[in-house]
Amino acid sequence: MNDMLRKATFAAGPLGGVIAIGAASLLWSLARSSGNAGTALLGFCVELIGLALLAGGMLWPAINDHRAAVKRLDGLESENAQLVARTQELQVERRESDVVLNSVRGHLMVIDSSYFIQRRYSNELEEVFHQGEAGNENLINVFQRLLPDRMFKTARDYLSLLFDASKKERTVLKVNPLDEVEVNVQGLDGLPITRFLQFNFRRIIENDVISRVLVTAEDVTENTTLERQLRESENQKVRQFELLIGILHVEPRALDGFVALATEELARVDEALKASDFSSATSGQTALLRQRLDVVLGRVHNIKGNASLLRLEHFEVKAQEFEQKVIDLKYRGSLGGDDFMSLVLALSDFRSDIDNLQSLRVKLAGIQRNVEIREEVGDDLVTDVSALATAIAKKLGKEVRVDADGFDSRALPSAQRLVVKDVLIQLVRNSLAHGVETPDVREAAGKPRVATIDLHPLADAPPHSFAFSFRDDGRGLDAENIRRRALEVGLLAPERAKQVGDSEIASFIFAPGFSTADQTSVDSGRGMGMNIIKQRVVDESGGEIGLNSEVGNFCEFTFVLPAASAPAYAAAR
Amino acid sequence: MRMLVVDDSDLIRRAIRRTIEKPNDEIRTAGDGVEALRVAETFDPQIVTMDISMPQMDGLTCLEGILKMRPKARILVISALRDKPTAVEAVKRGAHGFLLKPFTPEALSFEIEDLIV
Repeated sequence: MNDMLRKATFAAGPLGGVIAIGAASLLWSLARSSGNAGTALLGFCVELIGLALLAGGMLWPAINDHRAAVKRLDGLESENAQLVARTQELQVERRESDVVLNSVRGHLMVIDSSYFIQRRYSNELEEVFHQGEAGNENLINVFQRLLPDRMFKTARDYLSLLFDASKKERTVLKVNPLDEVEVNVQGLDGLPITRFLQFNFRRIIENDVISRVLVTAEDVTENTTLERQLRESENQKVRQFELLIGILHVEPRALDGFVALATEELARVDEALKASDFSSATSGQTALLRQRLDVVLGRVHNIKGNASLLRLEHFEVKAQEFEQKVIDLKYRGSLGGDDFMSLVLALSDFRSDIDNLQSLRVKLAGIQRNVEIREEVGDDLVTDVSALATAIAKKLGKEVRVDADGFDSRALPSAQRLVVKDVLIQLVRNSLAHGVETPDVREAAGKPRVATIDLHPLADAPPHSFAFSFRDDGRGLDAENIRRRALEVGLLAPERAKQVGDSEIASFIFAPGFSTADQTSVDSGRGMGMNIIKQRVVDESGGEIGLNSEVGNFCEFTFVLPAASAPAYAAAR
Repeated sequence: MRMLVVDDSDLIRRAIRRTIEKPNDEIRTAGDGVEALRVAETFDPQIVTMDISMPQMDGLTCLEGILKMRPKARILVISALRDKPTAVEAVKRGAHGFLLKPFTPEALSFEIEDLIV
């Protein structure tokens, strides 16, 4: 018996003192409570000790009086002989082992080398397994029911490692794949529920052979869920920090402007995605839904443009991803209410980022108040647009200079100024993506390597209006290319293709989703930029757009914005 | 002691070497599974530290190859893989120890000691 005790203790060796205490106290209470002495079955003793050893580790946090436990350990030595004597006489009675097992918080079982669950276990086990009676069962079968295929195969391999004496126990325990495993079980109401279970294993060694393995199973769903929430909130913090870093370079006023614009544009997106309209939509209304998508696309594209103007990369990328989702839907054959769920989700995600930005902005305000704000020289819109042009040109391997002598939008009412800003952003993007050539191409065509964007007020503007011209010295509009593309996307009926003049052809560039680019990138190819310009200037402000172009030489847009024009959303602010 | 350090990162190879090298040790390194097998042909390492994800030949295949050639070699898998099935697979194929990246020098020394015991 002494031998067996030692062996069992050795088998659990690395667990150390804590477990010894658990073992001692459990054995102790067992010895006391059993009173009536009988003959112990060796195997059962070993098993009980094993159970106690393992349970000790788990029970430890539940032991309230640490000191008392340590004292009991001290007393163990002297009582050991007595204890062993009593244990030898111990009668194995189911009733009593139940008392021990039921008092243990975890769920214990012993499996033999063919994985049959040999011994009784606490009655909470069924709760963990959610399978009803688990008696006389093979653990493999339990795993098969609980685990997804790949994990089941791993679990099966793992059980064989546990009984493989050539593998060190420490190494095997270290790679336990089931220390936190997700299982899907059927709840009492028949609905599937996800639980997280934790299995722990220890070898039981008898006569130098791994005769059995002790298994504990515990439902750790609550812990796991908490852990994940914690991790999620940490991630959230990291995101906020990155956001913060990303806005430090932006002037507070500009940031406020961006928040206001994005908030407003997202509200418009929300309107366009009104769930009730879509859930009731039938297949015949697909065309209507597509129109809505174009509205969404335009709004999001405008946010993207403004984000790139302020070099708010996070929001530029975010808007880009949003756009992609919209475009994916747009080209889907049929559209239903459910298809818009992904957009609604993306929208709420975007909103929460904007909210984050807003709250960071408020926090920042306190810090930045002390920072000197640079003296304004000239129109900061010109400065911003030049910076945007330089940044995009650099990305595209092009070179550009913005000449804006005499252009000054500072006197405009803020609503109108916003329109001008949105228009300029899209014009710059359009010019650099489509009009301006690379330096080598320009040189070969006898032009200066550095392209020029010329922005100037129109001299003959009607009174009380704001009129300006935007001209680049790029390759100009390619009417043939536009004609071909318009045919491809169905804007132009084949029979009309030959009759339509070049000037009408040019107007196609303002159609939503029209692009001559073959590939989309963050800077071009979605065909929304020119459409936004038309929306802003013509639809919302009642203004006019003029277009003049010469192949190989230039492309010029002229704009006239009537004084009274003020988009509804800007006026409301 | 003859040791072979297998990892596709030069940085990690040097870190491992720094930690485990003792006077009179003979240490070789390899940057992928194929190179490791070539070294093991002539070198006969007693201890091998093995990365799992490497170009050309992954660590799981390589450790089997080495054990076939040098059955007495003791192999410690050092991997960043959080994929539990792969860890089980490594032990099944004969790894004698398992250590997760990133590791501390103490943890590595301990695992190396444990291989020898």
